[in-house]
Amino acid sequence: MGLPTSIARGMCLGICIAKGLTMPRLVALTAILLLGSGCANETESDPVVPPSSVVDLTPEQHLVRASMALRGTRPSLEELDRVAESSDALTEIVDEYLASDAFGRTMRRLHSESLMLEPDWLYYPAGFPNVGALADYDVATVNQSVMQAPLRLIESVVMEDRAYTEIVTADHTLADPISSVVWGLAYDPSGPEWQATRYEDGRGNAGILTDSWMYVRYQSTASNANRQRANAISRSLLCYDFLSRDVELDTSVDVADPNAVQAAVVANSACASCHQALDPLASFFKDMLPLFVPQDAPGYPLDPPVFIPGVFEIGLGVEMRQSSYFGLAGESLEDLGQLIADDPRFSLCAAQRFYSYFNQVPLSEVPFEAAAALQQGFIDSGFNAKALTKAVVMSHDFSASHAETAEEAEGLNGFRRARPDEAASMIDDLTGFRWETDLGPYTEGMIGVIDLPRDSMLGYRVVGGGTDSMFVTVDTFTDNAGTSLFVRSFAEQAAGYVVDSDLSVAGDARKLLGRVDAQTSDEATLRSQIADLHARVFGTVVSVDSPEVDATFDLYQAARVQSGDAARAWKTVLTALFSDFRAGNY
Amino acid sequence: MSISRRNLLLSGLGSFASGLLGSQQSAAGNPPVGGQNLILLFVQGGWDTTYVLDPKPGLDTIDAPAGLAKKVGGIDIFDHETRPQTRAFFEAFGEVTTIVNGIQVQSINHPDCTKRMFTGTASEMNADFAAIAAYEHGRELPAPYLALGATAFPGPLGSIAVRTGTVTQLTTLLDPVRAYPPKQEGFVGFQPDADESALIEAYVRASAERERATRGALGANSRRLDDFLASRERGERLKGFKSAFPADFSFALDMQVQLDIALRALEEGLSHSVKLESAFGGWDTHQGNDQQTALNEQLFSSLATLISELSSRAGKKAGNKMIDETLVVVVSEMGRTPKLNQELGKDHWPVTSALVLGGGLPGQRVIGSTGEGLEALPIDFATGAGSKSGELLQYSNFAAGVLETLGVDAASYLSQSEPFHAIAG
Repeated sequence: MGLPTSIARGMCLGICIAKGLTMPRLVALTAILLLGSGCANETESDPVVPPSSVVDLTPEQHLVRASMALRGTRPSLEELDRVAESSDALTEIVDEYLASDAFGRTMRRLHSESLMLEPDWLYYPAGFPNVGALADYDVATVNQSVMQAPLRLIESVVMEDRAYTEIVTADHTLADPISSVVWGLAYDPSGPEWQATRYEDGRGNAGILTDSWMYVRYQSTASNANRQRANAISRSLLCYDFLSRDVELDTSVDVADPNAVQAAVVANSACASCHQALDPLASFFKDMLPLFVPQDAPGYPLDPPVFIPGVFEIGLGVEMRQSSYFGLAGESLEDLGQLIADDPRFSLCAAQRFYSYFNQVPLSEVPFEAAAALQQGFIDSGFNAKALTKAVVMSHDFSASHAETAEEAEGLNGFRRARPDEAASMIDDLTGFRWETDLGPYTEGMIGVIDLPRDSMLGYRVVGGGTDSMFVTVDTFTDNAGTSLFVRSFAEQAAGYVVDSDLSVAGDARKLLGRVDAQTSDEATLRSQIADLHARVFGTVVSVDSPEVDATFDLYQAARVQSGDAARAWKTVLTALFSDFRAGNY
Repeated sequence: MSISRRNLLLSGLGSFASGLLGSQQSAAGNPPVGGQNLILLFVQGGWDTTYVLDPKPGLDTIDAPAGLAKKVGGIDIFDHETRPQTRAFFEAFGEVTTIVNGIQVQSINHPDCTKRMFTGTASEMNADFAAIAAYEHGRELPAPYLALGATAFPGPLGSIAVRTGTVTQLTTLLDPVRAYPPKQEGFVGFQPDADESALIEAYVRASAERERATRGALGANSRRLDDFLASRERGERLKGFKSAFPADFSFALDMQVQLDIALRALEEGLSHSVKLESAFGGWDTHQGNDQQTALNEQLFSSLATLISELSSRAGKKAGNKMIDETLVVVVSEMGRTPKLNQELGKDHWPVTSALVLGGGLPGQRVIGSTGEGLEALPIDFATGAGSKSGELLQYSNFAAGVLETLGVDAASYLSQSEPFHAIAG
């Protein structure tokens, strides 16, 4: 038994840094160290042991956390029973979750945040109008389809167990009836809603790298010369952000002279340290339309198209450098995709992003040793994103509950807060209630149905703690007045909906109130119903005479006395349960 | 008092004269003691500082607009007849205005520059100075940090921040009357009465305390429970201020609407800090940089409205006006290149300026300095004057200086950065 794994890995990395290696070489060498027999073998023989005072979740609590993180819903009662019987069932159930459609949605959400692809749909860089062949759709629907296309491709790669590298190498794209019209892609109306199709205009097909929305979301100008696009790709897919580096202005450069500036980004060491890598990367995008305001689109397919060969060099007269990827030669977007797929930073970045998303810690605070171990497993799995996800959710970092010493508790994130998207899925699953509004009658059809918890433009995604892909780029995991109002209103709406609907249908068709009706007064029945509610809403199996059920029973009785109305009493109870810390956190 | 659109957009500044008088008198009698409220106005997109704040006429190195460097209202600005609202603002309020030039942002990327100017750090995970001020001086308020529009960095102080949303949709959560119509026809959500609400609240609180006893006794878990419980109370108190918010949405997040909310939020004790947002990124003039003329006119017209209102409304302390107790800070995340590009626009530049107004500070000042290439020059941090032996003003020094001016121990948040002491005067 040698050094603990984390220390050994830290030494591997420390040696590289101490030798002052450049970033690409450092990454390559780190990858070699981690991929090679030395560090990798330690991974297999020396599992990471949690600090002694850190207490793990119970298997049932772990199941709840995994279910919420992967699907946004609570586990079923049957799943809770399986885990209660044997904690070994947890890993099987996680596999089932990973195969569910709900996990596909989670993959879209994770990548929407990392790629920042779903900004407010009415404004630039979105804002595609519902005109021409799309006049029958509302504006929100048109834009959501366009913004979803690259995310749907990623979802399909993950859900079909294809190598995750295909998100940048796939020889096709995905389109629905709307995005196919916007971009002029072939589409079979008799096929599935989202179906594989190809760009046939000469740009090639390289997963999300050839998706037109990427180039409308991230635009450029002649003077910017695609640098923003290059950095967006680097930041999102490599976790390497050129613009996070400090810029020290070299006052010896005559910034008044464009030629001097052009020369400086090549030859001046202060400028070239970034530009020697950034500018050749930017050159991969030299054939993509620099600037486009979707609101101005007169009809579809878009004209001018997004792909215009020579638009920067010939059309705009921009002197682009020879394209290359951190010194490696390449010409096309397909070349770029393969170079990214082959870069160890790509798999490491994926590991960091998955860890960050599911553990709700900032990307910059993901422990390197944890990310490196995840990266290794990810590579070994053939870049299987489900395997990567499973490694995250089965880890001790994910299942940590709390610590028993103040020092360790200080930095331990023992609760996960339900994102607005997760809260919406949970409430839908529990109650059948979707918090939506139809603004069609008020906007002459321009705006249609809005999914309020999931929409940042008109809804509550940001108010409730989520992101908007533009200005609010990280989730808020602490509660404040705004998130509290969101949760409270959502709880009231959902409670009202499910009680009214449950009490109006037969028992089997009910969502939550399967044991009672408006006349039920028998305490045993009421307690059984309440215990069921605890299991469904909190994922906690409790006995009918437990303190938890006592408290909820007391609430029901008090509310019943208060209003003299059983339905209102149940609405009061369910509003309390949906507002409870245990419902909003997992 | 509600601000009319006409007042905001069409009036000259004659109607603000009484406000000016008030501010002059009260500012003289009440030196800054810290703890002021804060209004942070974000000029989003990157302003061209050579239009008004940092005159650079007659240089081959800089494409400056038409105009003349001159003193207006006792402060050096760049003036031109095409910018009458701007001129009128300084004539009326130069007395309470400080221009800060030569702030190095060290980046040319909007999100990066924004987080640096807001937080004084390179990380969006840190709190911005408006959040810090709200936490230090107003954490007990219902919405200590009220962020209108999208941009704000509450960082670890997220529990004191309230975002209103792109179209101020927070208002639909404040009152069932304002709620979105449900898609389900005929459905009316549950609206608990006061007694039922009290039962719900008691249940939720008791449940959270049980959670604390098992998993939330220490550290980060404990703080999460604290935040949760505090948010319940804050949310309820925020509902009590629903009249401060517009009943209708504002898709454009009209500045008039924002100013009205900000003034009422401070006046009625809703918030300690309020963040406003100007022009939705319209300042990012890569094409047609001359749009900066109109943008400056809109900005200074809005500022005139704001300062006039602050100068005419009573402060909390007897004899004070709100302007004495409110610091207004106007920042843009970056400047613009010295020279025009091929599309007659200007691109991103890692040196910017700021405005600091009111708060009991002396005005008629220009502190910080730039050279003929629009590069930052070394200055004396105590006076703000150029000094060859001085230091370059970094974004972190600026943020620390604002915190110091607000009576916050800047070292607690930005320990590596010397505050730009000259801001406090």
